[in-house]
Amino acid sequence: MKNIVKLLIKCVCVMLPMIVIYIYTWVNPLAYMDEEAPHYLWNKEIVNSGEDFYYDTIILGDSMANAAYMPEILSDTAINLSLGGMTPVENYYVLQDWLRTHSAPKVCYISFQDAHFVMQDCFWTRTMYAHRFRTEQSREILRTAEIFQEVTFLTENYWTDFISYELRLPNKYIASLMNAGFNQRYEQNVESQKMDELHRGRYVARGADEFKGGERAALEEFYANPLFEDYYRRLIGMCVDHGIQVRIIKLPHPENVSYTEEYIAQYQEFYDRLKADYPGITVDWIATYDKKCFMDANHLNTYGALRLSSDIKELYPDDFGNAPLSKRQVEAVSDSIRSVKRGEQLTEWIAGRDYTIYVNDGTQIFSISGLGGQESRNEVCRLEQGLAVKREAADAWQWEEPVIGDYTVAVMDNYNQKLVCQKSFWKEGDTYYPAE
Amino acid sequence: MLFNSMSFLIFFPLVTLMYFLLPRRVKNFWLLLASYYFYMCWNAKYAFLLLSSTVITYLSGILMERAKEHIAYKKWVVAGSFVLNLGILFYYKYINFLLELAGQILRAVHIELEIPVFDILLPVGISFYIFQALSYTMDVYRGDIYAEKNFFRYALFVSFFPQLVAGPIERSKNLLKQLAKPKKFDYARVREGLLLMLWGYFLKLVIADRCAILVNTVYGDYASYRGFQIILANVLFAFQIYGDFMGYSVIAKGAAKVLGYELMENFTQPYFAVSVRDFWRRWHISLSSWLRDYLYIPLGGSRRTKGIKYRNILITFLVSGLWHGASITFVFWGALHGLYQIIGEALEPVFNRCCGSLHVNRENFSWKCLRILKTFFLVDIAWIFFRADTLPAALQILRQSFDLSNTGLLLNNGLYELGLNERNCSVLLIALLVLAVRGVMRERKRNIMEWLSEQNFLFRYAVYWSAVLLITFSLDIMGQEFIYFQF
Repeated sequence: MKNIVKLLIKCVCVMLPMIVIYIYTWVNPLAYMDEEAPHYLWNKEIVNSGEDFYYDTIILGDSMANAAYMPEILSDTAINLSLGGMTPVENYYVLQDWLRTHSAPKVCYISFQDAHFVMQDCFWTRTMYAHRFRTEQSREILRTAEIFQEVTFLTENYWTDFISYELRLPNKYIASLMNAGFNQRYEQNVESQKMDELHRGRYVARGADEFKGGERAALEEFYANPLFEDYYRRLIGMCVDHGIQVRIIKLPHPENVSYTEEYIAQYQEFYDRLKADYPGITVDWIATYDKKCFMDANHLNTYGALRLSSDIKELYPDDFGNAPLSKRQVEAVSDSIRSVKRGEQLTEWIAGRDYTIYVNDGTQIFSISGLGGQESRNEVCRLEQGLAVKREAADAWQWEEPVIGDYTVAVMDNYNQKLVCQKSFWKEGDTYYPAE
Repeated sequence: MLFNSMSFLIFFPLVTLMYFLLPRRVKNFWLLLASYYFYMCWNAKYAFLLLSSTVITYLSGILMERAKEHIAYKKWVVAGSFVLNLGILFYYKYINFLLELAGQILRAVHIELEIPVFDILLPVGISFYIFQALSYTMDVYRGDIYAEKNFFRYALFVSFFPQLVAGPIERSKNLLKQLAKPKKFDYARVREGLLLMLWGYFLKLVIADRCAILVNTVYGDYASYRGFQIILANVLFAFQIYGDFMGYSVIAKGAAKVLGYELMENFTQPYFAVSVRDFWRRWHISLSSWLRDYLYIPLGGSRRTKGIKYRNILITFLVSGLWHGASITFVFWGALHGLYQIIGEALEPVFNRCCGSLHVNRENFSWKCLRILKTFFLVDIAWIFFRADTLPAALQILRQSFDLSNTGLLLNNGLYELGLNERNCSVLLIALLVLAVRGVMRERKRNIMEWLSEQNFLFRYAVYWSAVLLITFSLDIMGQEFIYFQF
């Protein structure tokens, strides 16, 4: 017996580097994981934590959905649970976990890009890497993939890969540990998660960069591999079983993308079958948006997300109601406003919201209110060193004269009496370009 | 079930644990069950073949023992055992090859005949366990051992899982005797067995599978490569097959050792061989000694004229080639090794005379190095025929390897474009260095395990940790199978 114990101790000693790496990666994931993982961890945390707030609208899908739906624009009770690279397979388990720990929402918006009906591309490198699901869930995914022979899940040594991730073996984690210098990514990842919290899960394509490419392309075929269709149906079935209204939205592509008749016929046939099996669901197709709404060929940028979210609100007004913006929503909208690059888009951002834009064109100052009508609460006056806005019941805010650009603009958040941002623009035709 | 699979890493500790916990009289039965389970994980139906071979050779042993002095009867029995076993091997391994060959010959003489092709899946390890079972038959026939009466023990000898699918091809005099005494837990032995397994995994995962990346890249599209690319691929293939096969043998040896059994050594630094004959004393020893004992010597060996000796060498190596696979490339590979030996032996007097007249000192280090390099070169040329899919492909690869116009690759990192990135190349270099150091130590009769155990705690664990880390890093590039499974 003594010798057996001695042998076991020695085996543990030989395995010590792996045990150390296991503990480090388990205890401190934000210290080393790369940029996508903190969003997965935030998602895991919010999905698995108990209900401290009731969300009546959830959004499921992949990066396209994540980029497109803006909870702060939709409603304070909406949350975007989609994650980049996720297919219906992973989303099924996200919803399963959500329903285990939260009350069922009233509405579930579901959007996927076509590619995620035929292949997975991030199950190993993101889902498994970030330990998004419990071991039995990940194992169930692989077992089901085996049944359907879905090769995109079944890598050459998939059970070895599975165990390598589950045991956090160095072959899967050493690269990020080394690249992170063991602890260099912590602050950046914490910051990412704060932004996830602020934007209620929307993290893909945050920012105002615009899609520049785009040769004409036609989508010719719509097809779902059996595994993905099976999980898609299970996902919808779970919603239906819990009395959740399912709204499937096919998200827009840039205007350079068109759809062949075959594609449209296949798409309609697919959803006709789905609607026949689940009569209560709604299916909508928002075909194309202007390229300036996109960050790349698939993902709406922040402005595109504003437009899409506003369009959806118009399409299904009853889903969202007319509650005034919460403090958190305002902060999230303000954060998005800060990233705006085109001056003319600012008015769309503040439309219907209690913001004021002050514009100085070098000769005069005028203001635009998001709620319409004349700005009455704040007084703008010219000083020797610049301009100032005197605000009701608050300190005056001084504003420097523009040094570059045709216009200098300041955006004021009237809910919180805060300056959101100050920007300078050059005007060219109807477009206002950033002057930085 | 593969040694490099997660299922084996669960299977082996469970089997070992149960083996040591079970009462003495059922230990062998437990190992037998585990061995059949191990084999049936690959294909349950083919366990029947394993059982058939076991039953045939077991009964032939019993019959020969009863026949006592009736030599003719014993001869019939041994012939029957050989015919039945080789018949199984022939049907499952060679029938399609021979039919295809017959078709090619008929087409060459303009006879168009529809030759059928059988839909047969080659049973894994069939050549290994049939040769092992046949060696038992021969040993009983020769009276070297008594026939085993206990069927379960004999069945375990044929199917003992550590060496079932890729050897070493054990002899009854070694393993069967050991199986008569089930073993108890022994700390030192288990520790040594586990360390051997660690070394085996290092050879397979760190060396062989890493070499395989580059080798597969080049051989997968050989027409696009030449010169140094092919030379490098060939050199690495030599280490791939060594790491792969020796890795398996070492894991098998280690696993058997943990259970208390000592398997034979299958490799003794083959690339330190100073001649092709020496190479075959060091490479796949269990097969080459089998062929020596049961084929070469019965054919007459070297006892008669030189011509007959050369014929025997050639036959032995042709069989060795054919044993490896039902393909003309393997036959060619075997023939080439046979020819190396025949030519080497025929030219030896001339060579000796030349060396004598030039006063070459044949005892010094540089001369030995030169001979090692020469042997490696010859063996490596032969590996091309072993690795290539067809004979024309092998010849083209050989031809292209002499086109050395792409020397720039050595300077502009072009070799990194063959599938192995800089990091993997560095890991491979370190691993090959470790292999070389171990080889040198073993050549100097130093036991590396003993040497390691003499070192201080920190150094010892640094070695273990490095091995464990390198093995786990290599899981991502792990190949599916061991090369010798197909034989």
